[in-house]
Amino acid sequence: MKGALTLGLLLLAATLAALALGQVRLSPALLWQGLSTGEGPGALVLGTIRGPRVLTALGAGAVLGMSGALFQSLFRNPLAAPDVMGFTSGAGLTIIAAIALGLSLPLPLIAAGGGLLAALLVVALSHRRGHATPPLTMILVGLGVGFVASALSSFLLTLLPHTQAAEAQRWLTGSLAARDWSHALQVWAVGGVLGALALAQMRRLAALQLGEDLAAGLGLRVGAARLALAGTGVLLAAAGVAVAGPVPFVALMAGPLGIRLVAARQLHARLLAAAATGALVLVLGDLAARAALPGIQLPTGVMTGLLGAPYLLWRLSREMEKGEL
Amino acid sequence: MRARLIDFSRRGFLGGALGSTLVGTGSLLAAPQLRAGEDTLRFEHAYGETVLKAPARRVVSLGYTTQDSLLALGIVPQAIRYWYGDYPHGVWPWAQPLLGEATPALMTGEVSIETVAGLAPDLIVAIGSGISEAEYALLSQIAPVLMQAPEYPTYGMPWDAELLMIARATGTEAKAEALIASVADGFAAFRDRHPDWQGQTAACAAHDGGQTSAFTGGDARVQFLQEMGFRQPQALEAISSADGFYTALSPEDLSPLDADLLIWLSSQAKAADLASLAMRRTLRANAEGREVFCGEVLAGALSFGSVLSMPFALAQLEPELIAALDGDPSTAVPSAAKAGLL
Repeated sequence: MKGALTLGLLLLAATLAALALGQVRLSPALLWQGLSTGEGPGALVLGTIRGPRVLTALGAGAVLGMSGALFQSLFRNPLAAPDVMGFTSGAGLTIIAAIALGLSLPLPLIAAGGGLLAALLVVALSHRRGHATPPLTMILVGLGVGFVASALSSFLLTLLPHTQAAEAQRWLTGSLAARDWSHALQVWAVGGVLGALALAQMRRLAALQLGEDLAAGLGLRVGAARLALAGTGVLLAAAGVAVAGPVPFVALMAGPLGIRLVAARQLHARLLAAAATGALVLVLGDLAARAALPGIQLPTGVMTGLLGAPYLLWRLSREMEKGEL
Repeated sequence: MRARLIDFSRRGFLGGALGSTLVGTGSLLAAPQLRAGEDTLRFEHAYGETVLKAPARRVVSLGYTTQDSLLALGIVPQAIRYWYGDYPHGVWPWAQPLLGEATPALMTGEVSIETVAGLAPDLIVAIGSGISEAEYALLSQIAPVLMQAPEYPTYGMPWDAELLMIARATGTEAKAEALIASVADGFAAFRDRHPDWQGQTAACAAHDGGQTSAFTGGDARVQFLQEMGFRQPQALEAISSADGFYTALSPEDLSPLDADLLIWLSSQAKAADLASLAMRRTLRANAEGREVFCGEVLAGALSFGSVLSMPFALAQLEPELIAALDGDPSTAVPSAAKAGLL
């Protein structure tokens, strides 16, 4: 309970900091004036520039974090995250392909299609008839699928006209540049529905965590339950990718970090903690990317990559100590 | 709702909140009635149409090279976009004198919309800036935004068309026309001085990180060669794509670079790498002593291809070209000798 309060306060503080800080420093008085009257520079900065961007970052971070925790619980492995397992790369690839082919479908749909396709590929490639697939096999196959998807994205980039390629390249890094209220609304609406859907499946996830045999003994259709959970996880990740690009490491970090902060035991609490932590990580990463260095504004993905890569290495070393790798 | 917000916020920004004393022309979106006016300036561009009520004075330069056009027209930008090179305020040597004592902000990486808003510009020049349509829409709420004309690729608006567009938006057309005439005169005089070079082939190439590439098609560097009277080698012309400005070459076959004159865009730091490029020895330009080496500043001048950088490059290149194209392979081209290319 105390942990949840801490996380909530951290999230609030990070959100306020993200709204208050930037390349341009505005006094709290001006910001307040903008907020309360809709006038002055505060209104432009809060209402048009930082507001939608911060809200989009919160939403995208939350869905990515929740997706990560969902897979980590499902596979009972902290390395199982949509960014490690190639789902976000798959979503990114289909978006690049759509740009190359001139398709004009909504981005979330394209991203979802790519994410699901990558997930299906992982399942198909790691499946062996009559054997249960160990989670680590799935993760490694996912890693491979992710690398293939990234390589194909790079290949498509060289085929695109230079103008489009530059735009697509920026998008692939993960960027929150020039987000507006429609992006924020989109990720919150889609994410809200999917989040509720995920939370509604927690009983089944809990049964699965007891082991497949026991879960089946409790009357659960194991295959269908796993499929529904994984599908929800992929769609959650795609909702984030659609507004922020395939930002690396947020989904991977959010779960373990959030669960530790909150000391959550129950599954739905763990998922919510991961969502809050994902939002925290992405908002702080974006704040650092756009405000840490005067005169320099980086794409958000660069900053989450900088934060996330050391975490991944530390995580791997822990896994090796435990003898799980 | 949006229009109201912008209207208020814009006035707020100008109302002294950030120490700005200049009054801008007002936001486009906030004032749709402007479109009906007689004396408005209209600009068709890649992302639609931009309308200005009056020539702009406070300008933010978001294009990677548009600071040159603005400075040439006598307008010191409030902020400049960093492209590359370690020069104060992103202004290269050929443009430094026009900067004077001014200290425009330098913007690196993605465009920080709030930095632009904080400068309260009345015009944002984003020709060749690579901003997305979403960024364009957001910036348009701060001030009118100029993009490259619709017929050109992002980084492919010719220098004179860009200069005229910016001049029209800032009320400096007379100056722009004089500048364009002066640059044209410079090239004409150059062609008159060297009638025997006319119609010879020339290529611009770069070698970086093991990859050799050639500049093609409508690229500023290629246009510069054409203004001097050279033409593209047929092999390069054949691989030029419609909107591409360069093409990567296979390390096994540099023959598309086979030309009467070969100009390497490089820097002192990359010279050794270029000198040790073995396949260079298979090129006719190498055998006949027709290679010219451009260090960072000269390569930058050719890459900017601006109203200011081209006369600078022309003056610097002429003695090199005389040594390269004298028909005597034994005459050392000073720049190539200094870089160790011979």
